[in-house]
Amino acid sequence: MAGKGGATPSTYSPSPTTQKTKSLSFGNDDVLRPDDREWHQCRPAFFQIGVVAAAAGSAYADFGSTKVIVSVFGPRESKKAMMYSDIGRLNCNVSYTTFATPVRGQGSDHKEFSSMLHKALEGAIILETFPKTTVDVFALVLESGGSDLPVVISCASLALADAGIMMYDLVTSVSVSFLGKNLVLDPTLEEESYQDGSLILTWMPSRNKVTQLTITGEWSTPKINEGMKICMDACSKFSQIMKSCLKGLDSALEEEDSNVD
Amino acid sequence: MGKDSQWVTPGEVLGKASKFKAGRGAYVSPDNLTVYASLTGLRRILSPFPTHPTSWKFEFLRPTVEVTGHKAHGAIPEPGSIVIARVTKVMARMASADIMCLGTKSVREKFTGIIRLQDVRATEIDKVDMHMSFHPGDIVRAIVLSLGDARAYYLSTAKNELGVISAQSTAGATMVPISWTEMQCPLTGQIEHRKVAKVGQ
Amino acid sequence: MVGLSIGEKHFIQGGIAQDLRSDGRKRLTTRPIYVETGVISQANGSARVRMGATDVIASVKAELGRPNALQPDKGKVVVNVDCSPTAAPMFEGRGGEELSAELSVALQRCLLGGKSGSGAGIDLSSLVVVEGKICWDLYIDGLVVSSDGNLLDALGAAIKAALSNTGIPKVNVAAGASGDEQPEVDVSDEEFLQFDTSRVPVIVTLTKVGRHYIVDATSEEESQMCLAVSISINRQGHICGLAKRGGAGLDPSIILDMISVAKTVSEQLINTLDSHIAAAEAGEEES
Repeated sequence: MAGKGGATPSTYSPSPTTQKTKSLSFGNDDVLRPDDREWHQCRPAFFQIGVVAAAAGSAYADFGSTKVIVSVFGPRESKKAMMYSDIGRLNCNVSYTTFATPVRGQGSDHKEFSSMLHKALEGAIILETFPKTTVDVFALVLESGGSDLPVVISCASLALADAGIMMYDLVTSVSVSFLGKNLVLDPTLEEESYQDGSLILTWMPSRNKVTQLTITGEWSTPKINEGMKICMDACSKFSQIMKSCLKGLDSALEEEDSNVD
Repeated sequence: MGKDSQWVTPGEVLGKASKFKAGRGAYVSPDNLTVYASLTGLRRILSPFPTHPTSWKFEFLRPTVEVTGHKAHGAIPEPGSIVIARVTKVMARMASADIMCLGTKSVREKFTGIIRLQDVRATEIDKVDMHMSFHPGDIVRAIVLSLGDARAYYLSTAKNELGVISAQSTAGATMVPISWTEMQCPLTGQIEHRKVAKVGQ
Repeated sequence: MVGLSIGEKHFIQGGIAQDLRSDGRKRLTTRPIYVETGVISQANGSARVRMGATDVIASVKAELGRPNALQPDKGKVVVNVDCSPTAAPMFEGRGGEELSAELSVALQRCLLGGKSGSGAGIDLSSLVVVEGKICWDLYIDGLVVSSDGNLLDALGAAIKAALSNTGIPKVNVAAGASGDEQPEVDVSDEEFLQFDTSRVPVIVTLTKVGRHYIVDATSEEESQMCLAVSISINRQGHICGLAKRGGAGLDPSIILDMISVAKTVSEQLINTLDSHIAAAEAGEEES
C-alpha cells in the first residue's frame, strides 16, 4: 500500500477527465486500487468470537488494516435514572484507541458512530425478550483503516449472537465510496479521504431487510440502486463468513473471489 | 441435510410456520410465516405432545422447533420465577435484596429486588414488622411478583415455603429455625425473629 | 411525548391507510409553509419557517477565520441545531441534546456532501478570501421554537431560506502582505455579496406508518411511525444524502420506491419554497 501511496492523490482526483474504463485510467497494468483489489472486491475479512473472557459475548473483526473489538454485557439492570420500560434497552458505545488513527487521537467516544451503531442494531434485536434490562455493546476501534463503522456493526452483531441475545437475524454492513465515476466497495482510509460520496448499507441477509442506510454526497437513483446491490452482495458473503465463525468452522475464509462485478 | 445443518445461527430459516411451532430460540416472522432461529445453537424438533387434552386442535399437531445448546444470555428475572436473594437493607416499609439465583441458575449480573411490607406474609398483613421479618445478610427465597418499577423487581415471601432460609445470629453462627417466626442461635441460644421459610417437604 | 389512547392510535393509523389523515391531508400532501426572511437583524442572514405548528428559525453568521491547513482553498461551515426546552418539555436535558446532535449531523451531511466536497449544497471554495490565509466561517444555527413533527425538513427549508437571505460583506484585502504575514483586510459595511443557494438541497422525510408512508408528519403521526427515511434532494433531482431513523427493517425495493416518491415531492417543495423565499425577500425590501 505504501509503495503506491504517493501516486494515489492524482489517481483518485474526482475530475471529470478520470477514467471511463478501468484499464484506461491507470494505463499500464491491472492494479486498480492501492492494495491490488478490484473495484468491487472486499478486503480479506476475519472474524473471531469469544475474545473477551469477562464479557457475556465478544467478537473481533479485522478487514485489512481495520481492526475492531466488540464486547457485549448483560442483559443487566438498567441504570437507576432511566424510566421503566416493558422492553429491553440497547446501549451502544463506539470509541477509538488513541493510536487508531494516523494522527494521534483523543481516544474518546465517538458519539455519532455510537448512535449509528444503535440505530443499525436495534431493529435486529428482539428487545421484548429482556424487559426492563439493558444490553451494553461496547466497540473499540483498535486500528482505523477505513470503513470503520460497517466493520463495527458487523462485528457487534456477531458479539450479540455470541452473547446469546435473541436476534431476528445477523446484521451485516458494508460501505461503498463514490470515486470519480466508480463505485468502490469496502474503501480503505485512503480511498475514503478522496471519496465524493459514500453509501453505508446495513442489512439483515436472510430477512432481506435494510436496518440502516446512510448516503452522503451527490448520487443519482441508478447509482444508488447499483451501490445497494453491490453492498448486498458483499453483505451476504460476509454473513456466510460470520455464520461459519459462529458455528466454529474455519472463519479465516479469505474473500479472494468476492468480485461481484 | 449435512451434519452441519443442525447448527444454526440467528436468522437461519428453520421451516414454515404451517409445519412447525417456534420454540425457544426461534420466532415466527409475520411477513412470510416462516420460522427463523434467533440464537446460535443446535436445531431440535420436539414432536407434539401426543396425550395433550387439546391435541385435537391443529395447534398441537405441529412439532415444535427450538434452538438450544449454545450459551444463551444470562437469566433475567420474570414474574413468577422463584429467586434466592440476599437482604441488603431493611426499612420500615420495605426490604431490599440482591437477587443471586433464579430457580437453579445463578445470575451473571446484579439485579435488585424489594420486598414490600404487604408482601412479606399472606396473613395478618397489617401486623407485619419489617425488622422482625428480615435482617441484612439474610438469604431469602422469594417469588418475583412483577417487574416492579424502574429501580427494582417486586418480590414476595407471602407463602409458607418462602422467606428466610438461612440467617446468621449476632454471634456469627448460622441459626436454626424453630418456628414460623423464630430462629435460634446454636451458640448463645438467643432467639431472633424472622419470616422463616418452610424448607423441605 | 404525545400521550395517545389506543383509539386515537387506531384513528391515525386507519386514516393513513385510507389516504385521509387526521388533518384532512392526503399521504403525500405537505402542510402549508410560511417563510419569513431577515428575522434576526444581528445575523448575516436568517429565516423563519412554519409548517403547521412546527416553527423553526435559522440564522447564518459569517466570521473571518483561517482556513484549515489541510484544505487551504476552502472555507468552513458549522451547522448547529438547538432544541430548546421551551419548544417541548421532552427537549430538556439529554433528550434534547441527542436530538440536536442528530439533526445537526443530518443537516451538515446534506449541506456539505461528500468528503471531497462534491455534491455539496454550499460551495466551500467560494468562501475563501485569501487562499490559505483568510476565509469565511459560516455558522449556521437552527433553533426549534415549536415542535410538531418533521423538524428536519423544516430546518432544511429554513436554512435554505436563510442562506438565500445571507449577504456576505465584501472584503478588500490590503496588498503588500507577503510570506507568513496575515494580510490586513477591510470588511465593507455597505457592499454585500449574495450567496448562491441554487445547489442547496431540500430535505424530504418519509415517515412509514403501518404499510404506508407519509410526508410532513405531525408529532402525533411520528409517535406511530415504525421508521422514517430523510432524503435530501437538489434541484437537479440528485440525492445529496439519505438517513434512516427507527429500528424496523425495510425491504430494499421499498427504499428505491421511497426515493422516487421523495423526488416528486421535493420538486413541488423546491418550487413552493423558492416562490415563498422570493416573496419574503420582496416583502422585506419593501418594508
